[in-house]
Amino acid sequence: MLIDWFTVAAQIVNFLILVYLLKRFLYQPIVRHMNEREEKIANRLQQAAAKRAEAQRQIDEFLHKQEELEQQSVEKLEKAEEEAQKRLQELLEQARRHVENKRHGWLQSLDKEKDEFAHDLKKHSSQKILRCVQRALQDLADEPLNNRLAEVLLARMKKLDHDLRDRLSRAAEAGEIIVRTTCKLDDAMKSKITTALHEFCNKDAEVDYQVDNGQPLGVEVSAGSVKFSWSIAGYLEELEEQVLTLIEEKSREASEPSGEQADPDDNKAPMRTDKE
Amino acid sequence: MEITPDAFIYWQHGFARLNATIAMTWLNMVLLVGISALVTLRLTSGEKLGRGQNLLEVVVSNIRQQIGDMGLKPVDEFLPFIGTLFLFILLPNVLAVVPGYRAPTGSLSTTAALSICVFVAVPGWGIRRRGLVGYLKLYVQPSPFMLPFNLMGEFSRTLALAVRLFGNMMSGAMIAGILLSLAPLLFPVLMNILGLITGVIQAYIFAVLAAVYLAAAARVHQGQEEKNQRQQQHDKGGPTHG
Repeated sequence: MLIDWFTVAAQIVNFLILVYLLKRFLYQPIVRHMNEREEKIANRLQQAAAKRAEAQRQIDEFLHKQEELEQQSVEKLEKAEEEAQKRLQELLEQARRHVENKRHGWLQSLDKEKDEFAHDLKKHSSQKILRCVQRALQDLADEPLNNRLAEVLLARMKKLDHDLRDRLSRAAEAGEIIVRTTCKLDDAMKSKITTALHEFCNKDAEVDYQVDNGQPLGVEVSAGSVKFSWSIAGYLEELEEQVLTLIEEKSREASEPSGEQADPDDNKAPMRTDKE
Repeated sequence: MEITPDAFIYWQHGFARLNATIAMTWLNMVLLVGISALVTLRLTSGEKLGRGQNLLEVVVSNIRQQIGDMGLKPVDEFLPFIGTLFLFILLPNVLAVVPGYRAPTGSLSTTAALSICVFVAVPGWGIRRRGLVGYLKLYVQPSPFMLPFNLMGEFSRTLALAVRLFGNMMSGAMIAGILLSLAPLLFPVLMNILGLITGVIQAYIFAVLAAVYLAAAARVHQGQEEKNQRQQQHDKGGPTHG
């Protein structure tokens, strides 16, 4: 007999005991923990969904704030650009005024320099003209002219006062009399002058004739420290003095009206016209 | 040649005797309960699972899945019975490859005991679910003429359960023994591997068939419950729709 009924009964009991034991030690704990885990996972998913919703809300809020900030920054940028433009205009205006002032001062100084230069030019040109006249006269001086000059000298000697004549006489006693001319005199004229000098001094003093091309056209007589002469230098000096006086007067007249223009802030000041 | 472990008697006192079947069953029980207790002592519901817990969870969740697929609800009510059937048969079938181990499932007494358990459990759950009359009505459906056939089917399937498992396990051991004498080197190993597969399949078949028989007794009841629920919902919602 393959079936042992005691064994069958024992196995039934064994099986029922095992059902109880496995239920107690295996199924219940495992199922409980699996359910707990599922619950946890479900909770986590729920939390994750909530957090995702919160994150989405924060993202929306952040985007909204970002848009606001961008808007504000754009507005501020526009304002700053406007202010910068305004400031630029102010600075340009200041710079323009400054440049205008500088230009005005520079033009004034230029005018002044121009006036001074013109004044100097007139002065120097006058002097140069006179020098040229003098040199021309010297170059033109030849014997006849010198003789003529000597004659003029002789005529003037006759008109000299006694005081000068006495002083010359005393000086002639101490040494020779020197006659300087621009060019050489002829002998006749020399003897005429010597005679005239001897008469003039009442003595036979020695007369030395010297030629000096550097001195102005004319004749000079010197004895010791006494000296008298006649030349065109005196005329020329007088002429120069008169010309310079005239230029000074003209310059003063020209500078007087310019003093009334002084308003440095006036940007619309007209350009000074050349007075000449 | 002994074909059943019942024949190996270690101790006997009158009617009672301790044979290899009972002894090996106790060993199996100690192993199953011991391993389960050892693992479930350190259970966690956190993220990191131990290997033992992972293995047991895989086994238990698959058994629950199969029970659920059979239509048995709630699953946890049937889990101890069907799950224990499966493990009670699986463990000796797998351990059968260990030399010196005598699988209790190779004993007709064991398979008969398990079949008797199923034979009792099916009407037990049927009566519990729908009452004695309700369960007994199943035997006269679809017509009272079917009563003898239904009763015959009830007994024959119990017998089939017992003999199928016994036959498979016994034949595995027998074939291994015969081949051992004919070609002792390689074939017994192959047959043992084949026996492993057969053992696992037989454990699955036994558990699934038990579930099917239980479901057959309970599903009618569940179908009626669902019908009643639909009827109630229709009655409540009727006036509003009308």
